[in-house]
Amino acid sequence: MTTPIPHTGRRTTGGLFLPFLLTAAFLALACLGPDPAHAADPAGPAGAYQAASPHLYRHIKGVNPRVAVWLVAQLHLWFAAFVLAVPAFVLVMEAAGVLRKDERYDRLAFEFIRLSTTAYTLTAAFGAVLAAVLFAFYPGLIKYMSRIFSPTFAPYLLLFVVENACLYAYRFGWKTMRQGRAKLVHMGIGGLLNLTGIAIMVIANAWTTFMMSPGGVYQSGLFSGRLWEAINNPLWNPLNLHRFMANIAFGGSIVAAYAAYRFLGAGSDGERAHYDWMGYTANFIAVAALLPLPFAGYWLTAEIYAYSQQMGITLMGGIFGWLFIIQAVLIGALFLSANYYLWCGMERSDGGKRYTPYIKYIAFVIALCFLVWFTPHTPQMRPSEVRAIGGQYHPVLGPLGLMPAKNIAVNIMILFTFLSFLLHRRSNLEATVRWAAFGKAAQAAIFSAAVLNITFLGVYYGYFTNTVYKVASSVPQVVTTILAIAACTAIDAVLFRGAKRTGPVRWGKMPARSQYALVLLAVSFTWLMGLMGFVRSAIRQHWHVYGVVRDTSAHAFTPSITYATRVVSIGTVVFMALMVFIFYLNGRKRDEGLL
Amino acid sequence: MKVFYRYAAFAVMAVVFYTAFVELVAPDVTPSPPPPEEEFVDIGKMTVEEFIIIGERVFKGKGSCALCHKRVRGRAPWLGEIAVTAAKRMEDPRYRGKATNPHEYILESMLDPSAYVVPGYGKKGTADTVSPMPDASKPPVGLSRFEMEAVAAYLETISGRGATVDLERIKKEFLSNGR
Repeated sequence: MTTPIPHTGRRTTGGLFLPFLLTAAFLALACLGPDPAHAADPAGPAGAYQAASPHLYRHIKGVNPRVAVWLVAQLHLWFAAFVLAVPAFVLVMEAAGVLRKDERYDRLAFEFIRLSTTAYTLTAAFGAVLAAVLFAFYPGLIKYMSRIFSPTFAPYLLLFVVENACLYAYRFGWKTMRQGRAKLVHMGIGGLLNLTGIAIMVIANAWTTFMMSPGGVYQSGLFSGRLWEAINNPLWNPLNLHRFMANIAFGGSIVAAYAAYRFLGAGSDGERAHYDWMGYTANFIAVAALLPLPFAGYWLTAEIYAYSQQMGITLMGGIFGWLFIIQAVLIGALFLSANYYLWCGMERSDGGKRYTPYIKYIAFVIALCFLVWFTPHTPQMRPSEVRAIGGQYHPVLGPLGLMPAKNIAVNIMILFTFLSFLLHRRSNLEATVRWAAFGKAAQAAIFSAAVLNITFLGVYYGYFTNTVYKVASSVPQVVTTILAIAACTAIDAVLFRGAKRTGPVRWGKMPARSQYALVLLAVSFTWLMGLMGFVRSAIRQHWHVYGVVRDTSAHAFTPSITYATRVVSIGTVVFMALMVFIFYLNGRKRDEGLL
Repeated sequence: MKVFYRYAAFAVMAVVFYTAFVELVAPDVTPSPPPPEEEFVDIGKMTVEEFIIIGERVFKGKGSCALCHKRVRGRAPWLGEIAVTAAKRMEDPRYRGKATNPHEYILESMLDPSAYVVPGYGKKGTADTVSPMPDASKPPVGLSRFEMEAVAAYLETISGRGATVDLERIKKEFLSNGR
């Protein structure tokens, strides 16, 4: 049984991209020239060396080759992240529809994959442009990389073709393969689509991480001939995990932004209800993947330190230290908008009112954690300001600038976001099991013990023991958070089995402002990915391949943070404009009897 | 139409807010330009002075030694007089190493930092018997024998004792094994 969603007939036109285009043009004027701080730099020093003659660069008048490659690569990555992530949760949703015998999941999954198909074309297009600009501007580097990785090119292309075929078979076979064994075949195609997508990502990650932590080469840059060592370099697996999880979170947020777009323009209650549910589901996926993401980040950072202490120090200290303050603002925005959306969602049912008084406390704790994370270790100060506070560090707030305080903040923020989810989940439920009071008390005890343990570990090992333990204590903190979430979820699942419903969930009964929280989530994710991508790449400093192949071009310098953020902002505006165009195209499509 | 404009304006405003935040709040620090390309040192013709300069570069750069071994608020002992203090430490009953002169002592400290732990700088709970410093020859620092010899020569020099390095032996070793 499907419930067609009446189309509102509202249409937008291509000319409506004016706000995006104007902003992108303004930012482009501000930054596409050389970074003013380095405008007077001569071309890189004439060098001797290297084994693969990477010192070959081409110039096209009026084009900044680094920014061109940077923007195209970032746009390709954003689209690639989206099209790799969406099929993963589409498959899970399709399977949930089959297992629960609920066609709503099937319809939702189909709408997700429809979005992904359109984005796939743009991913491939940006991939082709990226290859072209790399060959055009950095032929020496590409020649060097090709000598090492050329055996991976054929499997990459083959996987791309297979992925393409799977995607189109999966998307266009949805209607014809809806029942019986055909459905299983369809899900098999979905599984293959995911596997090929992941394989493509890990091959590309090998190229990227080789540039950061090269393996299988001698100090002179000469390739040893051991391809597996080059692929399985120290940062390969940490980046594979980090990117996979980040892609899921990012993909969820973009789908949520699409749902918000359609919700705001919905012409009927049925349509509004559908897109409200879609937004809720996508937001759930985004936040569920966001919660463990810092832990994957810890692993990646620890491996960067283990590979090269110098690279680790570049990452977390100096000018890049400030990028983590900016990251804190973005993560704060992500957590606050995700929580705000959940709190608004409690209005969907009458039972949600029971939990409204708790919201202000959760909001207070999350805001407090955000402020701790936001506190810089060594703020930039004038000499008079340094004298006024009696040193480089603030006497009271100084300790909050250290990593242990931030570890406490992020873990507690994750736990309280989980609490918001828990309250939202049970907003229209009332536990009927006899041990309900005991179960809730156990959850409260686990939760409180986790918060106390995280705080104790952070304070004691962070401030009262040897430096070595400062970093090591983050592992038991993470374990505490994961265990608390797992234990509370397990208890909740049993506690509310067969629970009494306090009333219906009125999908669509959401204030419009809640949808802007979803838009903020998508924009913040996009911007954050761009910024962190810059940091990951910039810690190589003046190296194409760290410590092996030096960048001797005029653009070998590390750009200032403001310059980098302008480039990231241009990319974000262009990406969002293209995504809204995809939303628009998707809105115009006929429902194909499935929606 | 109104919805589209609101949606687009909100998305653009978020990007503008983040950009403005960085422009207004973050310090516009200009990172240092890339260092000049290191010239190849002809090991056969290398002088002691050139060897000491290599040691200084390793100490402040690849070795990350200067990060902890600072005069003020350092997490590890200051090394400005290490060639002088080394003799006293080798006589200390707590010393467990085999060095017979300051040069060997410095090299030994890089390979086996726990051979002698300066009081107050040991791992907590070990009564200053275990050093928190990693073996400098292994990752993440990963210095070669040649680089450690150069660091030792540099530290001897800044201690005011002059480098006691056997340059011919080091040249021979480097030319035979490339490290």
